[in-house]
Amino acid sequence: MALDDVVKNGLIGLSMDTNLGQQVYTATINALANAAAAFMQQFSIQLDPNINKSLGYIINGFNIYSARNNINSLQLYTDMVNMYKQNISQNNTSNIYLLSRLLIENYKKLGYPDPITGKREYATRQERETAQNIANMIGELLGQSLTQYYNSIGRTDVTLSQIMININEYASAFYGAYKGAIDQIGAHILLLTPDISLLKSATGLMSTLDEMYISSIQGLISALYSKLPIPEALSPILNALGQKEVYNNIFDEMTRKIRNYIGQQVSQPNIQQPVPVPIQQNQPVAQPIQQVNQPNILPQQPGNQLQQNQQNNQFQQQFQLIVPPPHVIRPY
Amino acid sequence: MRIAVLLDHRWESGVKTFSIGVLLSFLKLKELLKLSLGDTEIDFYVMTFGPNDNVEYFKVDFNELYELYKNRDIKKIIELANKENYASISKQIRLDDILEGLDNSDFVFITNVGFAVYNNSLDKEDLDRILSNNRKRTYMLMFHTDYAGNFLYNLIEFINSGKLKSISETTKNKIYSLLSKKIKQGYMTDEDQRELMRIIEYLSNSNTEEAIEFRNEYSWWLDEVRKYIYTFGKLTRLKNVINLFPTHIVSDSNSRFIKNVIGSNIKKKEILHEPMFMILLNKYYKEEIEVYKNAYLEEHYKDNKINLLYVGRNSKEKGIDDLIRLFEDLVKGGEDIRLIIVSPDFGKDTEEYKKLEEIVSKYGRGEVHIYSNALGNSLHEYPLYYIALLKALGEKPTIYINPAYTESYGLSTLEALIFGKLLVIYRDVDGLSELKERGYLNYQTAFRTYEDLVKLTKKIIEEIKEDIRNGRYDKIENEEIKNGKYDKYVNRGAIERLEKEVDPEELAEKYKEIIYLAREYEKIIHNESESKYNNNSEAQSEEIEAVA
Repeated sequence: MALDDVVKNGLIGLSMDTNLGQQVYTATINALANAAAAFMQQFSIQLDPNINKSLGYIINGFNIYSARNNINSLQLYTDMVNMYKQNISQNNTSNIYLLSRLLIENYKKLGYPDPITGKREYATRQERETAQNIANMIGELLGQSLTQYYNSIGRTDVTLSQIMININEYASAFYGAYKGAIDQIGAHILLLTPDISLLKSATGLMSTLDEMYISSIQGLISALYSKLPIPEALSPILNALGQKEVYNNIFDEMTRKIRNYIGQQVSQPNIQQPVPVPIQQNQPVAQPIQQVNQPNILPQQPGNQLQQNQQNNQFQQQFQLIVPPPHVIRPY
Repeated sequence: MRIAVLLDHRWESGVKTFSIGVLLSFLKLKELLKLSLGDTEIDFYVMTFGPNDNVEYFKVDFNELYELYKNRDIKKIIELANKENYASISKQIRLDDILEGLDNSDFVFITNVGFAVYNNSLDKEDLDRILSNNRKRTYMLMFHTDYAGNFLYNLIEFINSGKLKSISETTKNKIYSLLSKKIKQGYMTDEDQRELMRIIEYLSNSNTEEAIEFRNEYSWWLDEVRKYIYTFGKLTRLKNVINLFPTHIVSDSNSRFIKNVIGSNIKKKEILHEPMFMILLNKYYKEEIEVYKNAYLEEHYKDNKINLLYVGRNSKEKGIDDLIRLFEDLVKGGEDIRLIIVSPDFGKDTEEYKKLEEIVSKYGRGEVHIYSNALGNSLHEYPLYYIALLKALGEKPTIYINPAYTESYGLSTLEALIFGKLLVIYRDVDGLSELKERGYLNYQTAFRTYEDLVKLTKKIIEEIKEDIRNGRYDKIENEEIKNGKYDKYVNRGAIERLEKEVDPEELAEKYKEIIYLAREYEKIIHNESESKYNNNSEAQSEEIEAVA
């Protein structure tokens, strides 16, 4: 018997050992859970507008322009989030939308144009390599989800192989729903007020949220893949996470975190940066992250006139946070 | 056709800003060359400081950048170049790899003639190999500064630092005298340049107490001067080098300096504007800039207080002391003005910051706004903010002050002109004099001495006050007034022309012409050198060069 057969047969024999299977399964899940938690912990820093400056500016802009139009920013935010979810995360089809979006995002990294805008995206070599592996896995998962869906609505003639032939077409169509969600939010704003500034800041906020959500799921999958780079093993785990609503829960948690800052002034991050000259190495200049205490802010109650007035009074203070404010020296 | 570009990214300064502009020009150039010369390979090499102050070399994936450029994703390109130093799209290579890459190129562009200086990994032999005289390729090298002027200011700083206890009055006076002559004349004469070199030689070689002390403190600087001179010497011996200068004045000063020091001169010279990457940001992100501009106007600059704007490093040669002195004199004289400083290194712990605090508290009036990396509110990290601020200040009573003692090109001044259409008060020296001669800067707002600066600023402030009383800054709905049509100190027509001239995409056409001509020229040389009658190649080369 050839040596490779010796080893192969030996390992295949192990597949019958359920005790060993349980041990491997537990060890794998633990390793994946740790990798996922580590990634999410790191990622959640970006959700703090006191640290993530650009998110802070966007939220402040949204608060300011809502106040200027006498619109309750918290209510508007809630409406926007609901509209977004209605478009792309209905319970029985949310996986299809999400997987389609992820597939297209990975295709874009591989150099394919965006199916709506036609624009091409930039990705590093490393990102492209990962995207290739993840795209194969996501494509397979999407095919399975679509097949199950069509079967569930009575189209039992639909098979996985039929779906996979045109998987790009399916993905592109569902991908469009995300863009549609933002457009719909835009239309909703314009029915409330003609203020283009509010339109831009509100759709800007939702686009940012959308990008952060997708990038968190992408990052999560990459983190899991780095621990378990076997697509056929990871694929059912990702599928099971979807069934357990984990992806939807991530979105809900993200929107909840950001909600804490709606209608409130986000303070300017107190980041002291070193004098930058000379640059010491050819590495990305790491953004110094200083832990800033989360403001202990209660969400604003809709229709609370007092808070609305306070918000208007804060208008001037808030506006400065859209752009970096000057450091001022004044007479005492 | 194979082109290699060596970018010097070691400092956050004009040299790096220039190289980002060059990148955008070369991305456009690739498009242009594709049409005229077919596919052109462009290799981008970057040098930066490593963790131990050693120089590290990287090769950038130019094709990746080109993909971004095809989508006109200028923000991303600039972020990769500016913030990251190309880290995510480059791989570290050895110096030998660069030497080999340059050896195999037809055209080599080095973005800073001082690339060999402060470089402890690059030996004389490596420099010889990079600048070899084998005629296989053409070089283009950028001179950013007037080196004689620069060395003189270095000496002034050393004297003023207080570290040189033994420095004699005679030596001090010689150096100060050169400075006052330069300020008076606006440039250094041949004799002044030679005098400067005599002082440097004396400090390098003499065994007097003051020279020994100087060497103990500043031997690194003397070494640096030597390396520059060695590079200049190489350049005079190479025929296939195009020396690039941002202004005629910098070209003239450096050429004379090299002749005075080396004895012979550099040959081909090109005067070309520096490409400004912010032009492309302004071109492609107008809407976003408008939002930021309105934010600045509505919150920080709503009133009609007169602003004095300074943009630049916190350093003596940039005239920071004169700026602070001017602010103090104006505030002391009763003016409630606002000084706005945009500077990378203006932290709370600096002497200058403390001085400004003292002035404002002493006189109980005046205001200072600072945007600085050192204070965590840099505008240059995301340059759209900076463009927006200039535009906002352009709608308010603002005077841009450039009190620099040496300025090869005046990039920040040009940005203030282009984006803010600001009234600029500037010292009539070096590159700024030339910007005046070319009509971009107004001749009525130039000064040389501090006394002139104060007189001129006070006069203009009075005129602006009159404008404010007449509602000049309230009638911003009147487009003609808003755009400064009636500003006698702002040369609008010339500035609009300038905006096109410094556009990296427009400048790519100029680079293309240079490369094309160099290629044709090399063909002639090549044919001639193969001729069996070529027994006096040197003479013939001179002749061909003259014809070309």
